[in-house]
Amino acid sequence: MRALFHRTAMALLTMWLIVTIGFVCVYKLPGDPARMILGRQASEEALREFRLQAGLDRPLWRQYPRFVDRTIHLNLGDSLVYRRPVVELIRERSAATVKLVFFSLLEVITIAFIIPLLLRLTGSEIARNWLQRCSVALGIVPPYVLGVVILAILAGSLGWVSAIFEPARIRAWILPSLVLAAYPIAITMRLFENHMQCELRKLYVVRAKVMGFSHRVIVLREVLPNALTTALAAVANGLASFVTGTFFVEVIFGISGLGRLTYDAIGNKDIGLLAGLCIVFAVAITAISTTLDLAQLMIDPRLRGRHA
Amino acid sequence: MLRRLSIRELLALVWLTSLAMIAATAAWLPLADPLQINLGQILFHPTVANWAGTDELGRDVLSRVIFAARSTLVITLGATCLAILLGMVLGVAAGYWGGILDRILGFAIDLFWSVPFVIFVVLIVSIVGVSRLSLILTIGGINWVTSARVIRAESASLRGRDFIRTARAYGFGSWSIAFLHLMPNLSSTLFTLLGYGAVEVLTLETGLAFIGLSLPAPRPTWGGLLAEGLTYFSSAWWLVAFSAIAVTLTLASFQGLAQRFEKTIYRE
Repeated sequence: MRALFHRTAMALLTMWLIVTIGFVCVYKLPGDPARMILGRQASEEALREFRLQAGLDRPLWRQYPRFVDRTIHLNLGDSLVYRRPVVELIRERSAATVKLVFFSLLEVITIAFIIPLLLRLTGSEIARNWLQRCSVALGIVPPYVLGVVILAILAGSLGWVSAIFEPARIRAWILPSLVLAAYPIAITMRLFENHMQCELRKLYVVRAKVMGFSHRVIVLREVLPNALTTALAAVANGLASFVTGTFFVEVIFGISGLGRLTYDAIGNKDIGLLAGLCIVFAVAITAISTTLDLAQLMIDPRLRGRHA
Repeated sequence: MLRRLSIRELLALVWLTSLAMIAATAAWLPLADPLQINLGQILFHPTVANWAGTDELGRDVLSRVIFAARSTLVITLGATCLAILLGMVLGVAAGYWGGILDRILGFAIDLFWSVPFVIFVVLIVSIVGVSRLSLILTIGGINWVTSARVIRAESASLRGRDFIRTARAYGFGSWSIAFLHLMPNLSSTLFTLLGYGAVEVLTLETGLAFIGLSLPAPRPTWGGLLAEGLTYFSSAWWLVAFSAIAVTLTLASFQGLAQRFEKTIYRE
């Protein structure tokens, strides 16, 4: 219970820090925030009006609570280029990103957990070694390199897949989600495998063997729950790189989700939109990793004493 | 410390040193000007004259990849060193002196660990503007947490060892113990952190360049070259290939060397 409280408090503190960083970035970094948000062509009049409206002429201790209050009420201002509320844009575009992340997570779970587990049960040493080697190699290549190279080979040279992304066809999602999943798969698989190896050497496994349990029962019932919690932690830790991976994958494959929106915001120097996106991304990451942590606390009673 | 290198580690060392040397001397090598536009040879295949082909403005791809290595390596090195330096100072201070300092830093590390700063680099860099200095400061400024965490734990475990106690008994001050006796024992850890840090920084820097946050336009960066290659991926594979190979080999080399140092820590 105390650990639960501690974790939730930490998450709230993190969210506060995120909003504060967003505020500092937009309002306190060198440069005129009014000009940044309204763009270079804005007239003197519009700038003056914006300053008045956003309270830029007021002291810092008045500006900051206002920003926090507006952010909590999901008022992230308007986008310079689209001339629409940032929140609306984000809601519209998030469907594609959520879909992409969902498919990738499915792939991470099937490939990183089920394949090593099956290999453990059937027990082919050579296949396991090769899997390990592949995952090490895959873990080095960043998603943008992997995506561009795969697209150049499959769509460019071989012509196997269409270069134009069609969101309606489920097959079109396979390649992008695999590229996004590659890095987390590599990391999770390696950790999961190493942990299985460690657990299998422990005394309780020997004892179970002596008592006559079959290899399959030992792996599934005794070893798997112990190895699973660490692998879950690995997924939680890799969340930030997973999310930033969507930027690249969406840009490469032309999926119009949040990553693409970020890319366009950078290109257009649309600081209002970019700040909103950053805050939303950061809060989403914190929320998911906190949920995963809490889930771990529920599964594994050993962890409960550690934080408190 | 580096006896019996495996072939992979040797290759990593050779690749990194040759890359650094070629990048450092690029201005004097017989390379085509990376910014020289030649509209008579747009998107040429790799030939004897242009080993890696030419891009959409007729510029030599090989010399662009090499000149891109200069800025990329400088930024990677600068940001990694900054991050390690910050982490080392804070980590040794907290781990060795302990007490209230340690508790504050421990809390700060926990808090900073959970904020996804990678996202905010995008915001900060697009507001401040892209330059070598701004990239080094922002990327280095967010990556200190890992090294601070590791070094804090290491120096806390070294603090109770006999040689530190002996030094204290001989009357050395705590500054000289921390810097003369504690630090040298952290060298393997430092090299490991340097290797993994370089992997992280290079991945981030190239990724930023890929989504459009690279040094101003005509100057090549690896991420920028990859992004250019994406536009012509169906007709000109060589635009993608050479920058992809350069990035991947460099990352793999840093990773391999880091793993090597990591092993020496465990052996001690």
